[in-house]
Amino acid sequence: MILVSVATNPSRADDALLERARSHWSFRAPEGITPKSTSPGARNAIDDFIFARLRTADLAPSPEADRSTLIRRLSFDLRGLPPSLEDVREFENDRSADAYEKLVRRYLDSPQFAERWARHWLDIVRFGETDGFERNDPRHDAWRYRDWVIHAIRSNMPYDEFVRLQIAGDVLRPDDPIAVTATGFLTCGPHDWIGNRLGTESMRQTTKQTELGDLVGSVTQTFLGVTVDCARCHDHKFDPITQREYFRVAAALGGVAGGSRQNTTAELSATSKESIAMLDDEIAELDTIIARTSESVGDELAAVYAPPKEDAAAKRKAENSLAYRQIVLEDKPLAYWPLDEPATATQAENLGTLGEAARGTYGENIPRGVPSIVDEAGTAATLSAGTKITTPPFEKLEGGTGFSVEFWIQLTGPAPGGYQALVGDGVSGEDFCLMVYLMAGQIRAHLRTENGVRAVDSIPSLPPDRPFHIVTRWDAETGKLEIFIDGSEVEVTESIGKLPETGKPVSTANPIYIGANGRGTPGPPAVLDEIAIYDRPLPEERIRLHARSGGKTVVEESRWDALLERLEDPVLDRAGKIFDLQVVRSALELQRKLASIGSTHAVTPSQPKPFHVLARGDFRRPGAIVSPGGVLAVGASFAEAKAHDFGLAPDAPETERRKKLAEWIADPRNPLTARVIVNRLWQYHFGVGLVRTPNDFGASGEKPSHPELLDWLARRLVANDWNLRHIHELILTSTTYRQSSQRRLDAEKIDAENRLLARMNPRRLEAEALRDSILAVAGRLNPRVGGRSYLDYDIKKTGATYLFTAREVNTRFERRSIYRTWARSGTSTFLAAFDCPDTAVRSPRRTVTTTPTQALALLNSPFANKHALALTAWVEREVARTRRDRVVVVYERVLQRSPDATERSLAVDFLRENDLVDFCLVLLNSNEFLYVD
Amino acid sequence: MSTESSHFSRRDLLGGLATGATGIALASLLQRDGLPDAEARSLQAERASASAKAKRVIHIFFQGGLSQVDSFDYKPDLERFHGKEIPADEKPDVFGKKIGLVHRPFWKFRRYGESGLWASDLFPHLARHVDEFAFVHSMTSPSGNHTPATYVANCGFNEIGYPAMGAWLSYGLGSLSDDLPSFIVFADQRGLPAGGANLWGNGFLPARSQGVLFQSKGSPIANLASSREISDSTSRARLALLEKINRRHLEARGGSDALSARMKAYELSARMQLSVPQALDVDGESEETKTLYGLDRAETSQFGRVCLLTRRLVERDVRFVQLWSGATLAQPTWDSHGNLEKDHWREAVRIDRPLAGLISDLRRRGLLDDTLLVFSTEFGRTPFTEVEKGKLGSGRDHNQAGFTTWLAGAGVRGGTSYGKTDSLGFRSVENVATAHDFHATILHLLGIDHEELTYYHNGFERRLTNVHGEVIHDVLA
Repeated sequence: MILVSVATNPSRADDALLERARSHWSFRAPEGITPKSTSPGARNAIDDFIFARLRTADLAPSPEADRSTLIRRLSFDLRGLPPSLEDVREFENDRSADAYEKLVRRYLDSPQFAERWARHWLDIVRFGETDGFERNDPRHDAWRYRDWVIHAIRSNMPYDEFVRLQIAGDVLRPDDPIAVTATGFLTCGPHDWIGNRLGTESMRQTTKQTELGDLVGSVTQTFLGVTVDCARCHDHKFDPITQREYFRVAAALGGVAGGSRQNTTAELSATSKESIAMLDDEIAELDTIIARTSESVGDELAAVYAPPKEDAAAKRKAENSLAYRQIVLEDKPLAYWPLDEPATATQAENLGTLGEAARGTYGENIPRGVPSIVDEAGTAATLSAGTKITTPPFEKLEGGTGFSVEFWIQLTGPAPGGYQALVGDGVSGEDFCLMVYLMAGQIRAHLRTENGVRAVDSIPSLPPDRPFHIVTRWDAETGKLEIFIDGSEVEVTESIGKLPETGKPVSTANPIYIGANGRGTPGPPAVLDEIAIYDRPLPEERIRLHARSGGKTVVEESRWDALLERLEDPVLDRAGKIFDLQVVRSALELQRKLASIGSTHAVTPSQPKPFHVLARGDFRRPGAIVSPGGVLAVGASFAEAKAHDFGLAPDAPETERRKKLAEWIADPRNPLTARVIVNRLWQYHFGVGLVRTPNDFGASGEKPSHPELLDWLARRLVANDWNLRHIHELILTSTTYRQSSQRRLDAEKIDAENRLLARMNPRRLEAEALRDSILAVAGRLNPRVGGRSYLDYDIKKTGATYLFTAREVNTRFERRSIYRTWARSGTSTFLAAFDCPDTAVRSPRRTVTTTPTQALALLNSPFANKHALALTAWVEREVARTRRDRVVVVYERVLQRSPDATERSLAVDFLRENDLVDFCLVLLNSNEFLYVD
Repeated sequence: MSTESSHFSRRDLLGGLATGATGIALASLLQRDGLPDAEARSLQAERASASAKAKRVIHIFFQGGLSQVDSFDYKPDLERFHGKEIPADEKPDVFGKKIGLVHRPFWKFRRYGESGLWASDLFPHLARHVDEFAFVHSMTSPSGNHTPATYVANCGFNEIGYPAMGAWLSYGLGSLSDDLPSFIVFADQRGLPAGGANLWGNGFLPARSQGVLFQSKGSPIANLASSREISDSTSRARLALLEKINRRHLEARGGSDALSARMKAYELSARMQLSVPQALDVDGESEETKTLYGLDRAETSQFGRVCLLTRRLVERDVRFVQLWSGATLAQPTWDSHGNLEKDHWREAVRIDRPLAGLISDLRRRGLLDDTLLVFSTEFGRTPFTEVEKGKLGSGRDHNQAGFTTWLAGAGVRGGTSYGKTDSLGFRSVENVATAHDFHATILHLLGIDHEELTYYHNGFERRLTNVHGEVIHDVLA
């Protein structure tokens, strides 16, 4: 079928639009004006523009801020963290001419820069890790998009590429997991599961149209600073954008849907494999350096920080087949099936205390003898639908103080939907006492006590192609039902029953089924190994030991946790260089993970039907058919190129639509794309953009304070191949940026809002920077870059609905706030108090409010107090015998400077009657800690 | 307020806060938690106070879908059609897609008060106050799905992330109280409503306008007390030291309104620590009062306590108190698909006596004169049962086409009804109203023109009422 788009008098209508477009500054091409004269003190063109404008207002710029102010400013701006005291001293004493520039480069190179600036981007795209609305389903793999943003910033990805990949990465580079992950941009917004699937057709259509409008808003506001979504029901009220054009853009995005995308090794391109190999080399090289550095540190620290040595690992592998078995038997399992007997054996071996009684019989179809996933020498069993191992009934399977079920599992393909039985004794909920299932990749522990049935699901789901050590553990006394993956307890949701449920475990005389339950519910496609059942809750340290003893698994994620547990507070200071190297290493690991296999919440597109203009945006009133396309006004400056016309038919393939859209937005001639991004960079460096409406460069937005400067920066970006780092450096090294923020009464009279920048704007730390900084000065910040988000919630699942109640304090949460699981409706009291925006709202600029709630949070919260205590403990242990010494150390730690005489005496007076922890808390509450000059 | 210059000055002020810029007397603005920005204060608040009938709002929300035909929208024809098909010209587009036979009201209707308005035996206590009520019987919702419909009813949009009505009022009018939040929320004690904390969120408005979730037991709000035990003298010494350190910091910078405002916030927080527990301490209430609210009965004590706390909060000039009845997330509450008689009765018993007590208590204390009561739900329920065609079931489906909400108290013409559904109570047919109209009316009663209370966000001057809404003058006194 050939579909032809219909339009009335397109050319005349277009001419009118173009005329309107050309009269508005942002639709015209950026002007190539270079500042005429060089101003005294100017370091680059930015200063020339700024100073020229100041001169017209008879204002002089402010003098340069002092070194300690500059390093603090740079550190918070670029890293979102305070500088270390050593860095401050080094910078203050660095007499070289380019000391400042060196510092700028060093910070721009740091992984913390990427983390800090990725958070800004996540604000703009309203990144969330749950669906929102009634069900609010978690998106377990959405964090990969966050890691992608960190990676893109860290690798200084050219901005046009950054744009293209987020809109069409899966189309442009289908065999590159990094590119596919980028499309998480399209799908990180809210999604009404019920509205899309239940109710009547008209209800579903309404929901879909609403969500598509939100997507059009996201794409056009984020990259173009135009609100095309405002033209859904009628032509745009203020801008030359027609309703028809809204539907053209909507048609270009009409096939977008979100979901988990599984990348498998087989699909990896040669380039991806090559880059993985290169990363491996880099990591290995870094490991050598770390090992060498560790030797020179020469104490216990070194052993902890050093990566496992190759020969040691090999040795362990050779030994561990026996060793693993040994370790398990030390814990006296009730029953244990190592599955190491020959493939021809008809019976499963049991080494547990039940002896012969529990020896199992293999089903006919169960392939065994595949290499073990735990040790080098042994074997394992493969599961697939219809296969199972059945043990004869126990005389009695009886819990003592509870139960633990342990096994290793490696999925051989994506986890199927529904549920599959893994290990258990039951047929149905009525007669078993314990069962472990796989539920769409999550582990479900199910048990029955004399008081009823309980089940919990692990929040993390298992990706394929990698072995996991699983323990489900129930303590009859406390009623705790927990799941451990790879030795660490994971967050669970309650799926059946309620907490706490204590009581005697029931006993059963059922057989144990492996890879099925008694009802014949089949198992998943997986390899299962080393199954054990215990009649008590296995202690945590034993679980960790078991997990670590499986030679094929590197428990990398938990390494930092273990490390921090051992070293506690003074990590940051003593570990010094190794610590920095480890941060770099984890950043490389992030990139390696992105480049390799895994599942990611990204675009899962389908071919849309041809789009109609809908009268008043109502799907019941379809008008003319439209082709996918762009907006004429946006391309007013290169209208003759007809780039907004994608040359596509209304039924064009989905992939072509997004590809063309991406190309049109990232076209170097597009006058908005570069302007919008340089304005964002300016805003985050100065607190206010040259245009103060960063998502709206249209007629209802604001005009730029320095239009020529904005244009100059935009042109510089495009001329430098969209190199964002170049723009950062221009801004940061300008004299304008280095000005003091000291109040200027003369300037206030003329320019109360400091639009002309006669001084630097002082700024309050954003919620995340504040939280991260408290962790850092308390010595509790785990610096690992990337990876699965920490879950700071109590999660409850009722029916199909998830409820997230935020928690504040736990060692697992002691990472940078960007790694929080950003659940919708999962507000953190602490972060929200400091204006952290809602994940449902595009927040291109944060509001800053001052409230008593903030004072309460910083003085009273468990978070603030825990870390004031950590800081206290460090101070008391590390140094300072006298009050006076302690005061100095706390000042240096929190504010990176020494107190003056008055400050010292005020503090010493305070400490006569009060504890050090309260002094620490006071400094954490001080304006100096929260405000950056 | 919609002119370019004015909306930029509002925006600029926020920028000023962000950057510490001065020139506008920020300190005076921030002396109370929840004060709106300069412009809203000067234009909105002053104009509002002149024409406002109500100073405060109590909003009771029934989440899950309150059945209009079983409560206040009396339809005698339902008796006639009981056990019959709904007439053919109706083409119901309902959530569950099952259109069973029509069911008569599950409770008997009677006339009450001087107005003689009808109410069913579902709410025997509330019914005695019908002379205070102005019903809107012709409500409609753009969504028949709980969460979007609840967003519409509270935030004006069926999408997630728009500011709640209480946040708009906090933003536009500011706080009347120095040491209590201006927007307080009591969730149903059985759980949060579907849609979660976004239902009282500030959306894109400044964070200080967000609803503060109060627990009716234990510490009412987060961080009110120190999580670590400290003595009063240490508490005072800390604030004194902080003040001295901050003062030196401030002076070294030549002054700054943003920094001064932060210092002031610590004084306010200390006051809040005293005033919040006082507001929530019901020990001094008489036995008669406690009985009035149903604190003496197991089935009403939970909601009764919330109602009593509500009175104590509005008495202390909290601007907006929101009470949630029903929590779709916890269990089926008002959402009575299967057994309406059982589910609605259980819910009504929890709240009927306490709400009636609240109204009586407000009236006798003179608080009803300047307090507006709002009763609403996201949608109603169908007159037919949700079961296969041709069968008579015992539950009703969601009904976005017609349902009832009502107002009471300050500025409201009590004992009136506005709008009509058809003879079976299914579809609104006369003076059809929307959440936007209902919101416009509420804002009007607080002295606010709903078209003027705006906030610029990503290209839009946003309003609670989107681009719609007309004040329903017929319900105004």
